[in-house]
Amino acid sequence: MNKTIKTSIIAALAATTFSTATFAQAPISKRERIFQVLDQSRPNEYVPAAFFLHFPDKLGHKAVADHVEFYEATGMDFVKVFYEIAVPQIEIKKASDWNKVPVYDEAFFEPQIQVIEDLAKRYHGEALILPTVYSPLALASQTIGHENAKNIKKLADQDPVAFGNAIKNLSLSIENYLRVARRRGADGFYVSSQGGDGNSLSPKVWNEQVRKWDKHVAEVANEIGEINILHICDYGTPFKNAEALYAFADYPASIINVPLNFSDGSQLDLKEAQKRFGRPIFGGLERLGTIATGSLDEAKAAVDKVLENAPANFILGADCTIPGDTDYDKLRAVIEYAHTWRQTHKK
Amino acid sequence: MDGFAYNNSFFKCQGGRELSLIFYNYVETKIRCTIYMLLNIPCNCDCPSQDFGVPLHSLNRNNDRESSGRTFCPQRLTFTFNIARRSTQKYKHIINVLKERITTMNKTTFLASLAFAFSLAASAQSYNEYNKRELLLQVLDQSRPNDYVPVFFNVHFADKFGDGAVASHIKFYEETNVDFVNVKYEYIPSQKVEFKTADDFKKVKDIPVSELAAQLNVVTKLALTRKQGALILPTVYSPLAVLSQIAGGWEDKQKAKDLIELIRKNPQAAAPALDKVTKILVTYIREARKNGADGFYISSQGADVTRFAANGVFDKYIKPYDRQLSDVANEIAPINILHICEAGGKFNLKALESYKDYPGSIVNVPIHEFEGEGYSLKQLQDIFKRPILGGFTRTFIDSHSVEESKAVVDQILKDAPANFILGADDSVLPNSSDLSKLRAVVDYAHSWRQTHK
Repeated sequence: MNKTIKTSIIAALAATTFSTATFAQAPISKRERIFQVLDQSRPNEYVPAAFFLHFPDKLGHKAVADHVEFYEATGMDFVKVFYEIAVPQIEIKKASDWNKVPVYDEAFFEPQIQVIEDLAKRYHGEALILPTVYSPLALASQTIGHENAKNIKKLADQDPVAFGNAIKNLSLSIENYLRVARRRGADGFYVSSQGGDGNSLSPKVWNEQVRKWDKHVAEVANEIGEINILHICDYGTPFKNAEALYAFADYPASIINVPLNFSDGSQLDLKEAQKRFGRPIFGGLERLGTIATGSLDEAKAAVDKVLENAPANFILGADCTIPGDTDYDKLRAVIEYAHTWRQTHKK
Repeated sequence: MDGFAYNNSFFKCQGGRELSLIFYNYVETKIRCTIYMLLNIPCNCDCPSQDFGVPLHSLNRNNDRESSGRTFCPQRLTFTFNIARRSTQKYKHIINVLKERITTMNKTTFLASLAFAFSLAASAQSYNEYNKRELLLQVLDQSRPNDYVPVFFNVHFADKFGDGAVASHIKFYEETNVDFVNVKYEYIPSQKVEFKTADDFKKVKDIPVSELAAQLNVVTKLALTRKQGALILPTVYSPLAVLSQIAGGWEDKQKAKDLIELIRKNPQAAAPALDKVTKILVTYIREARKNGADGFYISSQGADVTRFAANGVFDKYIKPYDRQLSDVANEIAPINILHICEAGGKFNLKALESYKDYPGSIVNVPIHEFEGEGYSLKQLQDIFKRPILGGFTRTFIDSHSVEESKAVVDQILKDAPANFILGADDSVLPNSSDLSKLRAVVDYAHSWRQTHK
């Protein structure tokens, strides 16, 4: 027999054996654990948990390595890929300058997509690959430059239509990112919504120019993703109260990641949140609370408190990104504690 | 450079004489599939050969991975296609296209490579089928309608146990392309009791677990071979049905009727007998779960108005046993379907109330078996707050043409609730059902929501 044929046949057998072995080993995957949370006919016994922090390496193979290390070290339940690509800064001195913001095509996002693709190749069968998606407002902030971000509100008020155009183009850019990311291995997305807190933008600009394009991102994710998490971000600008938060109930998403504290001093009732959103809730811990600063015992006590009052369908996490220097071992211990909490704390 | 478009994908191909073929794939709802074709000309690349353990020829690994940050092969042959459920035909077509284009290749080498490609396609297929599990779990996401409509049908097979039964289940699953492996419940208790008076209920004995061995064996074998492809969901009969088997009611309908009448008159006396059959059914659920079942299709029975609903017998005496099965399944299994069985009776809206507090991730109600005004499928999702399974009557597909059945699928799916699995009132279709007909209906339903936007 021709040597090449032999080689090919051996290769064929090797490949078949290899793939079969992979499937046979598969236990209940972390993917299915997350899907189980969606079954609102009953509480999820296994409480998945996930925390996020920014890594020193933003893109390239080192970023992939950081994600792998974090995922493996913490034992968290999905692979959340950080969004680290920034749109170019554009000089925006007067309000009409917002018209200069273009739509960025798929190629623009390639370095970010490569990180997603590499992680998807590694973890696809095991865990859901959920890349983060920034809001159009966050990209507007990148556009103007973070040092000038404080001017956004004022500039938007001066020419709401020009600002609306920028937001629209950025939203369409994000759509390009979502579609290519999905094709290259993302299962769904962790979609950040931003600007509807009543502080970052005036309610008029938010309602008339921004909201529909902010929501558009969630809609695209909903159309193409297997499962999506909506992160309602209040970074530095808390919502007035829970009712203001529930204004987002018409955004599509399978799971909602919620802020916890409101500017009127009240706190979110997580059970009520599942009821009002009609969906499982992700979160519960404060990003700068004991998960970041406390001892393991203090963090566990915080988990106890959260899970005692958690809604039936729940994933443990924080309200936003936790500090980058958080100890991985502590996170792992907290995540493992959450996984079995409902079995170990049966009344 | 030779390039042409295949559907939406761009197909680039460089001619050559010798080749090794590397099939690199991973799956979402679409499979992305890249064939790396390495020719015997120097290839300046860093292909992920280790992933398949395939020896590569003429590799020159001086590509700087550090700077590119990822694997990249400038001479790869790439195409993207939908390897949705009817993938084989499409796959063959693509291979044929490939065959035409690569004309300079040594023919035997190409054929050997094809064998390789097909073996990998087989693994791609099973990987894809693995996703039937997820496609089903996606139905649970009540924040939106499920785009892919899974289908749940089953039939009883001539072989009840042993390898014949396993083979029949696999044949049905493969040929119809349904989305679950439903394991038929075929065990019948060996003891027989003639129920004449209330005292006869005392004659029912505990059933030894050993009687379940053959039934469990079918679960185990199907789980071993098909668990990666689909959820393994055995059917479980109700305590009433099993008591009726003990009475010989399956062979003689009169005995079944007499038993029902006796229970209706002496519900308290029947309770210990129901308790004994419930115990063996609970054991079956627990053992099947240990042997690979992902969840259960639980047939609950008795609240229909023609039996026990009217005088409250069901809620007081039958339900405590009937519901136990759902409770246990709910406790130990990730996903369960609650089937509300009419078993020849009729429901009214009030009778259905008895089941509202039963656990179950998905609910299957016989909507064509209502007395008077019934519920629509959509109303049922609102009432049970869970995805609904159903739509067809049991016999429709078998007794009509594929086109007629498709028209019914149109009607059902037009008015279906957001979270929906296509099935029938009682998902057991006639045993003689033509599998190719079922296949046509199943495939039509799967993509209906994409094709009827």
